[in-house]
Amino acid sequence: MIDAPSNPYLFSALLGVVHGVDPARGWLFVAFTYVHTKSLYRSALVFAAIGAAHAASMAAVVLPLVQLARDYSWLFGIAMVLLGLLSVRGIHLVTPSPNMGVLYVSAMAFAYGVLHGGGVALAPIICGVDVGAALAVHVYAMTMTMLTMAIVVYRLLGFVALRKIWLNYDLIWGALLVGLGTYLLAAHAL
Amino acid sequence: MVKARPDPTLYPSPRDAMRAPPEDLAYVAALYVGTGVEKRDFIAVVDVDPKSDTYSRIVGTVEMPYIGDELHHFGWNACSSAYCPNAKPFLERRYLVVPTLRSSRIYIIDTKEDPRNPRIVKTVEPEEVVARSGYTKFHTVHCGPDAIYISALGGPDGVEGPGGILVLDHDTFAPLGKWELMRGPQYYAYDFWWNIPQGVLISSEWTVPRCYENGFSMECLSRGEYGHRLHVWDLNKRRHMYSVDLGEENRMVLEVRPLHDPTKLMGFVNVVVNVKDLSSSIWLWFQEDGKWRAEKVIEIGAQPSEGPLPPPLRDFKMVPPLVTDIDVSIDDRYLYVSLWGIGELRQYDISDPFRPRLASTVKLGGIYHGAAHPSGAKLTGAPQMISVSRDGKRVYVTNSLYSTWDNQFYPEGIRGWLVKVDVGDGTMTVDKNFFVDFGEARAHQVRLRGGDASTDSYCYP
Repeated sequence: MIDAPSNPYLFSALLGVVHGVDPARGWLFVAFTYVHTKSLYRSALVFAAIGAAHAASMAAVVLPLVQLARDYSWLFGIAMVLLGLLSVRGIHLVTPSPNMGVLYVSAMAFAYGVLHGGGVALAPIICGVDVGAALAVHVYAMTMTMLTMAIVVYRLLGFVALRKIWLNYDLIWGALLVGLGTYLLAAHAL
Repeated sequence: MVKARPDPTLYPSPRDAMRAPPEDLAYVAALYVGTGVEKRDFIAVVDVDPKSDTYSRIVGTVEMPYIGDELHHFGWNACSSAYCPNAKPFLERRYLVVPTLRSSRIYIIDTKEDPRNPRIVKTVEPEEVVARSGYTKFHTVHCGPDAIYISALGGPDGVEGPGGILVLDHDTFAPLGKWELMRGPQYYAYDFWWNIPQGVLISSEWTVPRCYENGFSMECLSRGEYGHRLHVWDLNKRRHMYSVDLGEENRMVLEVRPLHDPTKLMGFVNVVVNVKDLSSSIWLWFQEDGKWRAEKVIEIGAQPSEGPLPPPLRDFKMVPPLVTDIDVSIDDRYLYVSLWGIGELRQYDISDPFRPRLASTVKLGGIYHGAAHPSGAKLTGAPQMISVSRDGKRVYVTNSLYSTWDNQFYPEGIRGWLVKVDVGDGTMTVDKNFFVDFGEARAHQVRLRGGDASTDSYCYP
């Protein structure tokens, strides 16, 4: 945890993995779409839509904030602690259906990307490096984790595995945000 | 209370749920409404663990605070639908959501602290629900991925319609309002269930409170006020799409039972009476070329009888089967059917849902059979509410239909009972050692701790 933020690319990738393994963030919906439509094309489309929407949501949050993050990282520390406390309750936007339009899926994934506060966590860490590259690393890590989870659970483990692997990621993510925010504030104070 | 790990009684698929441990307690709605006894209705806790010293006995009760509620159906605050994508399986299955059919209250009962002595932790009063939703007379409870859904038979005056579906907050149990955004021609209500992945909800029709509260009404029947349709809804858009008419002669369309495997786009529903010949029927509703249809797959005829018949049947000299409840085992292998008039519980093999095959029958009570329990106990009434265990090996049955209707069809009086049937491969045996006598109280729906075959819906096969 202490080491990761000192390597912005690694941190960006780790954050992608954390998002990717959460069943509520995409992979389960991809597997669910395949189970109910038996269409590889449709599942691939849903996967691509979630990936692209996530990339867009990260860019939409991070790019405008980069300058602010360079000058006032403590502000982000406070924001992260607050977002972390809020995210413990989780976000519930819509009950998905495999027949849902791809644009709708994209809009949902975009909204989740923004509301979850991943961009706010990312901005102060990657503001000192090539922001575009760091975002690309994040999205790549996130989508590859998603794809792996979807395939492994559908092909190997079966959905019964959800009983073991579906931890309350809202709690984990909330704790992570609070921890990181505190770290940023501490770093600023020192 | 938010948890870090999923509740162990929730299962992603019906196949997983079949492997659940056997139930140890059953919660049974028990009522005094209609019996002449001025007492409060209660939920009875029955020990169903054969290894326990108190097996087949009532080991606890929770009394309602008022007299005259008429408990009927009830359900859990959380169930396996919480595993649907971006629902959250971190709700605990711990509260029984107990609506009342006559007084329009909703009780929330906590079973966690002491499962044998549950207690009421919240009461939603009728004024609040009516103000929020315009609904009264609450019936079926289903836990959705996003909220608790409760069907209602009455409109705001509690006499006429339209009935519909009320939405209750998952966490606070506050009534949120009417579920329907566009109800189309739907007016009568009763039961509902859904296929969550397909985004479809199917609802059925009994009638309005005016036509059932004071008993079965010949006038209402002749005016065509008992329903004969299914309604198909868009679950996500909350809109009525179209109705499926089961025919003018088929009246009282009751229990909606989808197959548990969500990739099978079909389910069953029972029709209580055909007005031409008093038969009952069971219909398969299914999707074909993107459209939902229904087809009659089981017909059970009335039995001629010279014996003493209750007032509503005297002129007919026939005992109608009165199929009032059906239930599908979680493996989608058997359909259980109550013949509340004749006095039978039937088991149909539904390996081919379009051609159900009668696998076995047991006789329990009934206007026609009047069969006793194998223990020798006299059985008033007949099989009515069915509850199938998650592993499909045990079926629990009670005998009350509805207070005023009980009095019409069984005028000698109904003493509530709960019996258990052990299921083999295409066989049923009534457990001689399991007979719960509720005395003057009447027994209605049974909910097994941890869930049963009509409490949970699944998003994965």
